[in-house]
Amino acid sequence: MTKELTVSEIETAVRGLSVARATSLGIEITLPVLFPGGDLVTVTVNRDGESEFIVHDSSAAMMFLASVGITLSSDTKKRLRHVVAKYGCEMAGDRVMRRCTRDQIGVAATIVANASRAIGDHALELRRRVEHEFRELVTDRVRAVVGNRIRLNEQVIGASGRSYRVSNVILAAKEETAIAYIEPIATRSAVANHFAEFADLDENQKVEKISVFDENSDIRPEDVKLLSKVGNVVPLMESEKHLRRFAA
Amino acid sequence: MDRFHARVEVFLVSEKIATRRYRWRIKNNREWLEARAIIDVVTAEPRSGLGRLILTAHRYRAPRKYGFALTYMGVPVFRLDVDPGRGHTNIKDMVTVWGTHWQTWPSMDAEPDTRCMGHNRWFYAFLERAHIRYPYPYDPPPLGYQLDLLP
Repeated sequence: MTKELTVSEIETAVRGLSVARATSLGIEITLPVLFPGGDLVTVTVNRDGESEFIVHDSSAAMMFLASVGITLSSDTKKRLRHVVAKYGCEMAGDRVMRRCTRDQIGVAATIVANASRAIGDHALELRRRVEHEFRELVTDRVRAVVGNRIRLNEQVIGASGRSYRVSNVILAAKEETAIAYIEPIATRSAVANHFAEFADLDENQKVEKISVFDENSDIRPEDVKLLSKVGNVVPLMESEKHLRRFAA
Repeated sequence: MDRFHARVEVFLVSEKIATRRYRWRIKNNREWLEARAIIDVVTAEPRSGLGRLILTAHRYRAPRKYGFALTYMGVPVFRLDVDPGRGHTNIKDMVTVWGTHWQTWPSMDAEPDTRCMGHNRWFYAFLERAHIRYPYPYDPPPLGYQLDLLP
């Protein structure tokens, strides 16, 4: 016969997910709150004066984002500060924190853990999706205009002797020579590499170089300015208009 | 199996090399550190530059807390969390693993490791399991003291 499920059994099971231990930073509490992927959220409690306490995440959310390959732009950080404020918490450097009294520690720990998790949720914005899908998006747009005259990931040798894989190469009507190199720039992290690539390929003046960037990404006006020194820079939304002149 | 999944599988089992040395950077509130190196498949020519070795370390916490991650196209595909001070709940089987653990693509379920080692030995253990050759000198994280946090 199946044993009846009791209230205390469930309560014990859920309470068992909260664990506290002393570390050099203060008392660390792991709570039943998860970052994307399954890492549990931990907050630390420190005394602050006679009767006040600080509950903070020891920069755990920011460390989590770094460990899954995410670098935050200053705009994103600003946005996340607003998210944290919705939980009544503040950002002190990379820490999510909240002051409280002794009686409030339990609630404050829960609030800080959830605010910290809200930052960690930024990991759901997978860069792969951004980079991979953006690359495909640009290729689709080029192909829509030039049809079979597109070549993908073609190897091209730069003036330095370095070789590059150009994401999209547009061929002339006879499909013998290249007339344009088109690179997708999904995020700011791609800017430096593509600048170097186009600068190195710059001696080949007959081939037009175009960087198509995602205007909704972390790319800044100064990045666009930098890329414009080695070719044309076009936001994705306007790319079709610019590519149309390569139509047969 | 989608194309990305297939590429990750090849990347993970391929012999890889760090093509740039990592350098520790002290982050915003001086509480933690991050270092990155570019990782490429040894036989790939030209280099794709799509892999990253990401090291993190808390400067003040004791027991020491270290993170090692290998990403491919910005997606974490292999991780090691050393004494993270928290558990990891495997989403599929709902088992929680406490303490040091490894995670491998595609499940990224935590696999516990009960060994006690210094950063140096964890670093080389990570490289070995990730099939990465790091041809530069090992650089330990510049850890600080708790007193640095005081105003």
